Amino acid sequence: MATETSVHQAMLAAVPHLRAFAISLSGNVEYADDLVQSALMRGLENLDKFQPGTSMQAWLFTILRNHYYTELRKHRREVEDPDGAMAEKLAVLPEQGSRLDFTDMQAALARLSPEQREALLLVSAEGVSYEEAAQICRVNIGTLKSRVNRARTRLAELLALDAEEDLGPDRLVKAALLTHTP
Amino acid sequence: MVADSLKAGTLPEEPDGLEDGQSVDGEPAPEPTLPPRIAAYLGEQLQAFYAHLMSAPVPDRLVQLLEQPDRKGSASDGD
Repeated sequence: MATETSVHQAMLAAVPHLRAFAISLSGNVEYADDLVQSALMRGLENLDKFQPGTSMQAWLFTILRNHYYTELRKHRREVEDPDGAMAEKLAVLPEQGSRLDFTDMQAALARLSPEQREALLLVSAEGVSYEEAAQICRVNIGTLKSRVNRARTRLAELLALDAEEDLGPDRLVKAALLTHTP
Repeated sequence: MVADSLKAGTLPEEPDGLEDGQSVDGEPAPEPTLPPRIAAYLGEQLQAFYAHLMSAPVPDRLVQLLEQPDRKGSASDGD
C-alpha cells in the first residue's frame, strides 16, 4: 500500500509538468487539461506496465505525447498554425504586466512543427536530458538533438532575435529583466 | 550524346529526407547554430514561459483523479 501511495504521489507531482508540457505543446489550455486527464487515466489503468525505479514523469510524458499524436493524426486540425490562430485561443496567459510576452512565445512555438516543438520543450523548457527526451519521442538521440537545434534556430527567427540587431530596444528591456549581462 | 555526358557526370545522388539530421556515411548533416548569447536568451525565455505555466493552479478534476482510487475501504470520512 505504501507503494500504491507513492505511485500516486509521483503521478501527482508530475501533473504540473504534464500540464505545462501539454499547454505549450497544444497551445490550448482546455485541450491540454483533457490531454493530461487522459494521460493520467491511461497511466492508472496501465500501472502494471510501469517499471518501478524508472521515472514516472517520463512515463506519463510518453503516454501524453503518444495520445496527442494519435489525436493529431485523427483530426488533422490546426497542426501547423501559420496565423497563430491557436495561440489566440490561449486563455491562461495573463496580460497583467508579466515580465515576458508569453503570448509571443506561445505564438512562435505554435509555428514550429509538432516534432520540433516537443523536442525543444522537453529539453530546453522541461530540462529533460537528451537521452530521456529521445526515449519519450521515440527517436534516436541524433535525430532529437537535430530537432532541438532546428527548433531553437527557427524560434529565434520567429521571435526576431537577430544576432546582428543585437537585441532591439524592446528586447533589451526584456533581456535586462532576465539578468542578461553585457 | 547529351545523355552520355549526363550519365558520366551526373550529380552525386543526394538522398532525400535529411531534414532530421540523419547522417549519410556517418557524416552529420550541417546543423544551424545560434550565437551563444541568443541561445542563452532564448533558453531563459523558454524557461520563464514554462515556469509560468507550471505555476498555474492544477484543476481539481486532475487532482481528484489521483486521490480517488483506493481508500474506499473505509467510508469513515464523508466530508
